[in-house]
Amino acid sequence: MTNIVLVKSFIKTFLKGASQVKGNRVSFKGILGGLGIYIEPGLDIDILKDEIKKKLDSGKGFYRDTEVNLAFSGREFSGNEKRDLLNYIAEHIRLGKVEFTEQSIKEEAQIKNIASYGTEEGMARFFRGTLRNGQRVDYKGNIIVMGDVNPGAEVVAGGNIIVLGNLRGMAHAGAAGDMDAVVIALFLQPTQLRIGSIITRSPEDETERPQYPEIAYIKDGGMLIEPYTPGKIKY
Amino acid sequence: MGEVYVITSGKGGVGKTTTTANIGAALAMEGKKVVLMDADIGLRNLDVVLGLENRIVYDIVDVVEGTCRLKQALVRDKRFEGLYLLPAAQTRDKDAISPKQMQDLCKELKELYDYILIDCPAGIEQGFKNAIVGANKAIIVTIPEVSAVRDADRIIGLLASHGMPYPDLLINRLRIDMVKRGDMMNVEDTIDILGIDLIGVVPDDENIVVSTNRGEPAVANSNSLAGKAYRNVAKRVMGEEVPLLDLGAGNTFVGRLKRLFGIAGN
Repeated sequence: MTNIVLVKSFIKTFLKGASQVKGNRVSFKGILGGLGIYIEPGLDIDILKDEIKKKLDSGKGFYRDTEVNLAFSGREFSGNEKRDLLNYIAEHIRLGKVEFTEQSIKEEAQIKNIASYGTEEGMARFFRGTLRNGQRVDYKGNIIVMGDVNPGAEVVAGGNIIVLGNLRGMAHAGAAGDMDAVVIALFLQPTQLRIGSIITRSPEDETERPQYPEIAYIKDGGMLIEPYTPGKIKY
Repeated sequence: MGEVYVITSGKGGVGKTTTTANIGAALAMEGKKVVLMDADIGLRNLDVVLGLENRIVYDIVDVVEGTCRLKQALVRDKRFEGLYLLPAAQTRDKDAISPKQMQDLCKELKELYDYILIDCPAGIEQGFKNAIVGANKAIIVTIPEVSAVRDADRIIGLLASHGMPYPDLLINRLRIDMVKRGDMMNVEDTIDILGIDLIGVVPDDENIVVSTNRGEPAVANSNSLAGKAYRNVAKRVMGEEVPLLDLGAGNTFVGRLKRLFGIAGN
């Protein structure tokens, strides 16, 4: 990478969740309206159940009251195993669309590409106007706010969040666990910013209004805020 | 056909009642027929601020329950020709009136008077809902403090969802000395967050406390800067274009010179 990455501020991370399971036997990826689950071939189904349960627990309220789409890949399942697995998951959440893709580990890269469409593309919801104190926009895909997000307002998206205005309230991108989601605002001064399972707050001493659009994303388990310069930053 | 304004803020103690009394009195001074309605049932204050407490016989609950006729409950203010108070009941609570009754009452008053100003209770519960249901316009009162502005923002959102998307903003108790020192939010900061039109800025003024305690609206006092600001607000309510009061350098000779040459900051 030839460009110099301007790291404006590392925001203090006080909650950090594990998005990757040890040894990568199971890995999760946010997709539109749910989770992409990549499973190492031959993994024991009980371990898989365990990991899925953990993941759903860490997503807390987000999976509740909403249908969750699941896309399994990497491991082959017999008809009985599929039934067993889905029955188990259905005890915890409401299932949406379920997909099984059986590819080998070699095709993992390709699968990841397919599974990453949660933040690459997908449905977007536009909100026109100011989101005021006490108001909330919640959407499984991406959210674009054409206006301000005031203190006390909440924007929660399964994918990315773009605010064409002042972001002064709370924004949660990748709320279903997608750590690749980003938040972009013309003026980024949120009370709290969340991406995936990472929660941060603005530095106490920084009260001045930023002079340029900024982007927030997760790198190495911490949240970075940088000036948004189109095409320059590879995130 | 009159206009029904609700004066609201969310937060308590920012000057809703004082604002209602003063705008109402100023409108009456301009020759309008005005009813001030106290919607804060159980915690009425508007009568005290207007100095009409001892003249109340019937109240708003008596009207909606049919105990008396509307005209019997209206207390006429003898100092301001055309100004009337519809007092709240003090021994009842907010549930004593239904939104439907409030709507009908506003409709009836609209036929008879030019302006109906409703003094809304603090909060966002039943009392608030009753107060806004009959109104077709709203004035949001806030003071330049973060918590009051937050509450005002919440109220603006609630009003929008009740079909009143463009309320006007009144910034109360501004202290220009504190703003200049950077210790208080200024008018621009406040508008920047709330994003609605400004109908007036009222400076912090000791005269207001005195006049409130005496039950004499400050607009009647020609020496009160706040009173002057409220008179200007009333003119804007009537649709006149009045420039904002200069609260800055004051009307000193040097200050005027500075403005003349465009040096003054505001």
